[in-house]
Amino acid sequence: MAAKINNLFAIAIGGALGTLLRYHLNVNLFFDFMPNATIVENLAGSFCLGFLTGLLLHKKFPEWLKLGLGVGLFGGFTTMSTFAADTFSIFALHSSIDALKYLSFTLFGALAMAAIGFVVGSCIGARNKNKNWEDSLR
Amino acid sequence: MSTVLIALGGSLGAALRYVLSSVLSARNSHKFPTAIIAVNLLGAGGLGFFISYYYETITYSFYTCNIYLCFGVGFFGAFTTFSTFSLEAIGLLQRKEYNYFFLYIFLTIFGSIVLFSISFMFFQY
Repeated sequence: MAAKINNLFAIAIGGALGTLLRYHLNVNLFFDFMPNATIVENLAGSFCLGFLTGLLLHKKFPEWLKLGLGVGLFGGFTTMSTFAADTFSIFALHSSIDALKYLSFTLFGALAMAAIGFVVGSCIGARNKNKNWEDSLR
Repeated sequence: MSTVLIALGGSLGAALRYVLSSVLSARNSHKFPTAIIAVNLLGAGGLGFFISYYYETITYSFYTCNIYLCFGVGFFGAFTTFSTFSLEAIGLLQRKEYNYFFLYIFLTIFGSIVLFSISFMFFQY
């Protein structure tokens, strides 16, 4: 039970950081009717989660760190609800072509980024298999 | 002030997603990832209701309105996730579950857009 509270705490901290990062990108990158910031966030977050998942094939991380990063930070940084809202508003206020562009760019981009991240992460993990992550700090 | 509200909503959303998805996936031993579908659809529908209900308050000032920052950006934003969705879809593709792969994408993407639209219109029309 104590471990579960730790995990939940790590997820909450990661979620708060990811959400704040997303908010600041939204405010600073929002320059036309296309929600560029949300595209960047969903693609980058998918890459990072892919990378982490690939890395974890070869490296052992403590449970709280895995969950804090994967579920909390990257999960909180990316968003499906804003994606749905954006697609709807582009469709309603602009054109269905633009909505389709946004949808397919996010979808295929995020899938590709997740796959690339996974491959890169598992290559780096395999190369550093015998190294301890504490050792790399020395 | 806005930083605290966003962080609060984000941490609650992420923690609730974890709890709900682990409860749902514990009940379901099937290889199809229903838990994240449920979470994303629930979150997209929830955001629709929320924006619809507070439409007058939050229009044209999304990023200065505290209630939108806390619930819209924070809670519903962090409750739903795109990264886990892409990873699970790639996992289905890797295991050559092509039918599940297309079903998963279709249900999540069109489901969340349709649910958002329906719930958004709820208080509007």
